[in-house]
Formats: sequence, C-alpha cells, structure tokens
Amino acid sequence: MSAAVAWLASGIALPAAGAPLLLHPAFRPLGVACRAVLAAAAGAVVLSWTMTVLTIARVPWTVPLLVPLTAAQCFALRLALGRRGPPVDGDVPRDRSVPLSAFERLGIVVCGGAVLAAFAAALAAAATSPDLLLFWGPKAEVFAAARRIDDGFLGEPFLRYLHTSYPPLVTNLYAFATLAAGRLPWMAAVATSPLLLGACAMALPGILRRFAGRSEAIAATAAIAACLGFLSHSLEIAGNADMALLLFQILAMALLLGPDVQRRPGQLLAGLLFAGAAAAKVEGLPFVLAAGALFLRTRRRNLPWPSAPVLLFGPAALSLGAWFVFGRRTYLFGWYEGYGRTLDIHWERLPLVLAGIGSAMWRAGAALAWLVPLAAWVVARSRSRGSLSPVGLASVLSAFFVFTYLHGGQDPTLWIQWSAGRIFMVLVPLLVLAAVSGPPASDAAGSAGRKGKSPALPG
Amino acid sequence: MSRARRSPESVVLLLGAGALAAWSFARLPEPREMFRPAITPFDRTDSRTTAGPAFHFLSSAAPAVPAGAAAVAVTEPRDAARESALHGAAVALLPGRRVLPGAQWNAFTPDYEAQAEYVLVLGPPPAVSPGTRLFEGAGGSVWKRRRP
Repeated sequence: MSAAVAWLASGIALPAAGAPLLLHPAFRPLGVACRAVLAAAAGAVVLSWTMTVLTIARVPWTVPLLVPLTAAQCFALRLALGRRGPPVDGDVPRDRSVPLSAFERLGIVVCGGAVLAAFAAALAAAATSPDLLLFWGPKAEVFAAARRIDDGFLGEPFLRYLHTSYPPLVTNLYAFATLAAGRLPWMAAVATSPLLLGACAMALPGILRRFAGRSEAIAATAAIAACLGFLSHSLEIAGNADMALLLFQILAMALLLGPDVQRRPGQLLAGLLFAGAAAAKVEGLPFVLAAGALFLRTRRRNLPWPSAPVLLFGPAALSLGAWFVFGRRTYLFGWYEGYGRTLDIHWERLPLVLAGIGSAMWRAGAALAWLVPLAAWVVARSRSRGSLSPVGLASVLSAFFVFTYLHGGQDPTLWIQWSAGRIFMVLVPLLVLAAVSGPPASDAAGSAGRKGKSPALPG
Repeated sequence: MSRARRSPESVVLLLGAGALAAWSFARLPEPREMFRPAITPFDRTDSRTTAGPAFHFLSSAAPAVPAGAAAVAVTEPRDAARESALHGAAVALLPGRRVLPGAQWNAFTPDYEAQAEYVLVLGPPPAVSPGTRLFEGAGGSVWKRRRP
C-alpha cells in the first residue's frame, strides 16, 4: 500500500471513533450517509482534542492509543445523552419512498459532477494551496515525528511565520495520518479538500431534509458543492484548512436551522461541530460566537437553560481551552496573535478595503459563486425567522472581516488579495441555507412546499 | 418532472450549480495534459513558477542532507524575497533537519545562514564554491561547508 493510500485510509479511524455517538437513536432520522460523515466530524474533533490534551499531559501519541481513547470518549458522550430523547415530529421524511423527480436526479448529477471536477483539479495539481507547504504540512510532519505538538519547533524565532497560535485541529489530524502512514505524502494532503467537499455533499441532504423539501435539499447541496468546488480551484485552497472549516460551519449551521437542536443530542452534535470550526481556523471562533448567539436569541423560548448553551458552546470552550493551556504552559502564546491594537482602526481605508474584497471576489469567476446563492435568497418565496439567522450571521461575519482588514499599521492590499476570497467563502453556504430554510418538511407533507412557519421557531 | 416539487430558489440554485460545475470542468487542463503525472503539487497552479521549481529541487536534494543536520536554502543569484519563500518550502521538505533561513521577510539573515553546515542552492552553482558538492540536479545543488 502506498504512503498516500495509507495516509488517506487512516481517515477511516475518524468515523469509526465517532460512531458510538452517532449511533444514538436520536440521530436515526438523518440517514446513514449523513450519520457516517457526522461521526467522522465528531471523531475528528474529539481526536484532535485528545492529541492536545495528551501533549499537555506529556503522553506520546500512538495510533493504538489515540483511536480507542477517542472512541471511548464518544461512547461516554452517548451514554451521557441517555438511551433515547423525546420524540420530535416528522422524524422520518414522508417522501422517502417517492421516486426521484427528473429535477432531483439532475441535481444529484450536477452535485456529483461538481465534486468530480474538484477532485480532478486537485489531483491535476491545479488547486494546491501554498499554505499547505508553508505551515499546515511542516507542522504536521514535525508533530508526527515528535509524537506531540512540538513546542520547541513552534518556539523557534525564525519560524514565526508558521503562525504559532493557529488552532490545532487540521495539523493534529494531518499529524495523526502521518503517524499512521509513516510520512506525509503531499498529494494525499491535497486530496483532502475534494474529499471534504464530497463528505459535505453526502451529509447535507440528510440534515436539510429535516426542514426543507427533498428537491430543495438536493438543489441546495448541488449549489454548495458547485460553488465551493469552483472556488477551491479558483482560490487554490486544496490542502489547507479552509475546506475543513467550511465543512464544520455548513453542517453546524444546517443543524441549527432544523428541529433536531431542540433536543440534547442535537445540541451536543451542533456543539461538537462548533468545536471543529473553532479549532480548524482562527476565523472559526467569530463564526461560533455569532452563530451561537443568533441561534440562542432566535430560539430562546424553546430551549432548556442553561443546558442548551452549555452543550452548544462547551465543546468549543474545551477544545480551544486545551489549546490555550498548551500555549500558556509552553510560554508560546496566551491568545491568538493580533493584527494591531483593537481600536487602532483606519477608517480612511474603508473604500480601499471594500474595493479589494470586491476585486478578490470578481477574480474568482466574476463572483458568480457568491451571486448565485444571493439570487436564490432574493427570489425565495417565503421568509421565516429561520432564514434571517444565516443572513444575519453572514452580515456579522462580513462586518468582522472588514473590521479586521481595517486594523494595523500596514497597507492591507496584499493581505486582502490573498485572503479575502477564501474567508468570504463562508457566505456561499450561509446564503444557500437562508434561501432554503423554512418550516420542517413534515409540515408540508414531505416535499410539497414551504408554506407556513416552523413550529420550532417563534413568531 | 412535477412542478409542485420545485420552488424558484431551487431552480436558481440548480441552474447556478449547473453553470458553475460546467465552468469547473471547462477550466481543467486539457485531458492529455491532465493525465500527465504532476512532478510537484504546484505544477498547474498560479505559483507553478515559484513553488514548483523549489519543491522539485528540495524534494530531490533532501536525501543529500543527513537527519539532524543544520541546513540553509539559498538562491543563485541571491534574492532575499525568493529566499524568504524558499526557506518555508525547505522547512516542509527537509523534515528532521534544522533548516535555517538565508533570508526572512525579504531581508538576508547572515547570522542564521552562518550556522548551517549544508547549503542548498536553487539555481546554477555559485561562482564561489561553498564547500564540497554532494548533489547536483533538479535545478540546484547541495554543498557541505568546509570547516574553518
């Protein structure tokens, strides 16, 4: 078996470790494919957290230690949830036995084609991110060789460009695969980007079917896969952490729009996905804070307090908490590295920043990947407060990114040029989800339409 | 195709998805080019002229630098901007070695460079030999410095 195959095959450990949690009966309505991907996502979050904690405890990483330890924690989480939660209306979509329409079959073909094109671009060495070589890859190699997060390496003064304080999930997972395979094959790391896109396309319909019609779920999944696949080539992100961040963000946001978060298992799952987003990239944290706050504000009357906020934010707090404990213990960092003083805002740069962001989006295929979801949201027939949540989140995140670019003493033109397209990718799924979010499918007899409002949503 | 199952937003999403998926295929390299194995992961990216040669040289030259050794990667002719990027690639492609920078943030770092026992030169061999040549090929050479 080649090193690349072994490196990628080690990913099987993730759904295997997360399976005990996702086998909980509360997740049955999501379907097998969706649960398999969610098990991998949960397994990835718990595995990365375990690797950070073992580093703090000075216990060397080994595959035979990490996998059972992760699976045991997922099993403990399942036991904590109890055997079965209270029933939720519309557990199983009623149109499961109805044959696919031509529109839906076309959607599946488009979605598959988009993922296939993303694979072809990545494997043809046309979409590789320079950041894979600059910091994600080298960190993973060194951590795997040291069998821990190597503070000596991160502390080298001439390696500051590695962004010492960047959260550890992707480097930990790459290090795990490198431990299993013996080395880091670069093209295998590049292939993670289309693999994650494919995983997202597999999981999303299962979650979307909880609150949208089948044709809407398929069209939304195809749109997200096609837009992000197109952008992953245009913006050359294969191998870096952007697609991992997007996967956690998309699945978390989709889950928050459906009925499953009314119950503890759904809240814990959303919390684990939040933890994945927060630990994947720095910009995952503002996403988690804004999405969580908007969600709690919208649904506060239907949620148990304080258990719901604890389950939603607890895993992210634990995940990042372990990372910052590591940073403080090794004197490497106490918090994320900043880009100037918080209130040192250069408002005079606002036109330059907005023009730079617009230009970055325009260069990536005339901004079509953002315009399609925006158009869909505009033409959506009905609005519910559910659809305002992703749009509100998109607005908050956009404002935060602009605010970030207005910071610091240096001209941000180059910084915007290489980062704006990537960080604004999150607007794509948020707008798509806003366009299709509405009442649960069960309200509309499976897939017939979206009239009325969700009983889960006030107002 | 049942009209009752389609909402306007679904139609917009699917049309847009179809257009972007088709565009994604259209932008792929020609089949003959695409099925030619890539030498580096950057062969068909925007950084193919910078990261590509550096990746090819460093991955070919890596066996000439023993594990644990201190090494520096420089360009010929010397260029602080290129060497800043080359250092990052060398850290990635020479795992197990202490890779010191010849330049950082577009400025030369002679104090670090002087600590290196092995010198990897991307480009033609330097006019003044840095020591004993251990490897030549893939667009560069590897030298072991003479002890003073």
